[in-house]
Amino acid sequence: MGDNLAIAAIVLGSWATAVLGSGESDTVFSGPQMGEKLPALNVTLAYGTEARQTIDLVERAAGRPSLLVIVNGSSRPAARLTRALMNFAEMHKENLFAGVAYLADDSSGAMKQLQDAVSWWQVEPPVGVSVDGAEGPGSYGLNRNVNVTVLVASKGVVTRNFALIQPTETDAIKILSDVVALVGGRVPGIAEVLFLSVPTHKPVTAEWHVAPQDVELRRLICTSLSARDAPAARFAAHAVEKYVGDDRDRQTALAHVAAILHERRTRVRRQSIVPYVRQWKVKYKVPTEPRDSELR
Amino acid sequence: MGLLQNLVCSMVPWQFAWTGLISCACLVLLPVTSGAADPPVTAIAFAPDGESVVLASQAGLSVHDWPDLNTVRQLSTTIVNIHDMEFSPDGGSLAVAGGTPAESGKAQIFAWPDGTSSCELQGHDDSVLAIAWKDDSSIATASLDHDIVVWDVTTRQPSERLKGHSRGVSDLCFLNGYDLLVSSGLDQNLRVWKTESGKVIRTLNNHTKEVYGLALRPATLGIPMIASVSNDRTVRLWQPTIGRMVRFAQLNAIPLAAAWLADGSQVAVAATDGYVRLIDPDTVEVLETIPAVSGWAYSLAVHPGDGSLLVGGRSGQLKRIIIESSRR
Repeated sequence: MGDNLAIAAIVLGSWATAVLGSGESDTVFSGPQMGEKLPALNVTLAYGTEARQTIDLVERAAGRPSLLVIVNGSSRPAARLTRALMNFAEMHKENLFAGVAYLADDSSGAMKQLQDAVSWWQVEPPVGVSVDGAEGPGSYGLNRNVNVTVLVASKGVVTRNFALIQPTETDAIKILSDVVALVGGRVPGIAEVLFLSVPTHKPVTAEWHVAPQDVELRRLICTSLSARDAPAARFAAHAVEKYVGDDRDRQTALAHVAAILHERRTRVRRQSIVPYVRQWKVKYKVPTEPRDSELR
Repeated sequence: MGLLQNLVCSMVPWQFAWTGLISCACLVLLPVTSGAADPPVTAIAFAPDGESVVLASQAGLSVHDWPDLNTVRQLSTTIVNIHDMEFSPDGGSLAVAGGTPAESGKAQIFAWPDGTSSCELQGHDDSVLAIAWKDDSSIATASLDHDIVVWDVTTRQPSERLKGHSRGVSDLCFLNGYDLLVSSGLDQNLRVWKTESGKVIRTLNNHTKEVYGLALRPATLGIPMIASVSNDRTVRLWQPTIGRMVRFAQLNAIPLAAAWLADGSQVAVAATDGYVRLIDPDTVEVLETIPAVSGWAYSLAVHPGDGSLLVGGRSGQLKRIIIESSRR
């Protein structure tokens, strides 16, 4: 046992010396850094009424606090993080501009990919394909080894830069800490982030549940997920139920939420709101999704 | 526009052409003795006093007066294919590098200004593509044999052999205040070496094709910046001390050589279409596209005094481009 520990210590020591001594554990840079101006970021939009139009996300931000996500290659973690950030941004759209630029060599192929993968990439803030190819605008100096570059900016100047080689939803918490510092509000916890990363759009034939596009309901659910004790949960649940009332669409949306919160990956297991989620599931009943055969 | 004066030196006497009239003022200088059979000008080095310029090609080394570019003398060299030249920091020596492909690479050092050969440094198995002085007694050579050798010029012995590039090493650049050496390679990478230990501390791998050359921005405030030119048609600006690619300019021709204007306000790039482009490092906009030579523009240098550019091309073509002081 003692020998094994000694060997492990030697191996670990050698590894640490090799890694730290090599100096290759540098900070990863991608995009404009803190204090630098945001150059133009032109994208061709993929969704909404402006689809196929080219806009400059920075111009559209018009100096407002901004959250820009630049995605270099589609990946499930990148999509989850992007959805969490954009769905949060939508809840603060009065004070915050947000947008997504997708990088690709083949812009028409990327556009088709985005339009096919609505459950991955469609969010309310503008999402588009960069007109500057796989490396984006040269003035951004994006690192092609980085999967997701997140820029937080105010008055057209970067206040925080995140270069994420292997993004995860948990990165959203530190990113949103900087966003909240700019626009106010509350930094979401991990349960909220996981809830916010759930798609809000899906193909019509899909049989799974989507998170509500109703921003107020989303905000109330986030509040209830942040409830730290039973009284706070009761208060939050009451606010949710009051908002839903007799509105059938809201009831359906809440039923979907209840189903989502019971899914394993949202990690809502010990939160104070769990008893209320169970009640909602029973009270509003998860609607039966139409099957492909029925749609045909 | 309109800020650039373009002085043309059409090299071939019978082609004494007015070319490159892109700006408000233009005049033709004396042609360099040259002809269609002349080889390309592969390297240009201005003498430290700015009174003369040394040109290298397969025809050898020639010294020309400045700005008339009349041939003053030839320097006798044992190197058959010269790829690079650089004056020592004290201006007392000129180092020349080249070699025979797949056979040997070497450097030769000349005392300046008398032009006598003071030593030869041999230790590569393939052509030496670049040479850079670390200080007056130490110099590095980069070769197609994948290696960089740091030499003690006084003993003529290698003091270090740096191995790390997986293909030929195309250029070198010392960051003396940081004890760093930056190299570029045909393996698409820039590598940052700690000169004291000879270890790679950083690999910068954003280029997607071979990297042909480096140019260190003249001393400015802040972190040192290097421009690299590559077969991927980009000029990338780096902060090698922190490992950051700051931004890049995409060109519609392959850049072959780069040099910063004396004040570091712009980087000039010579390309395969024979044009020189002036790029703003802050916006990476191409500010001027200047016709320089016909065919590839292989070499480029900035005069230490008047700030004008000298571009070398095939058949011994040379072109002088004057940048107005307001642009410098």
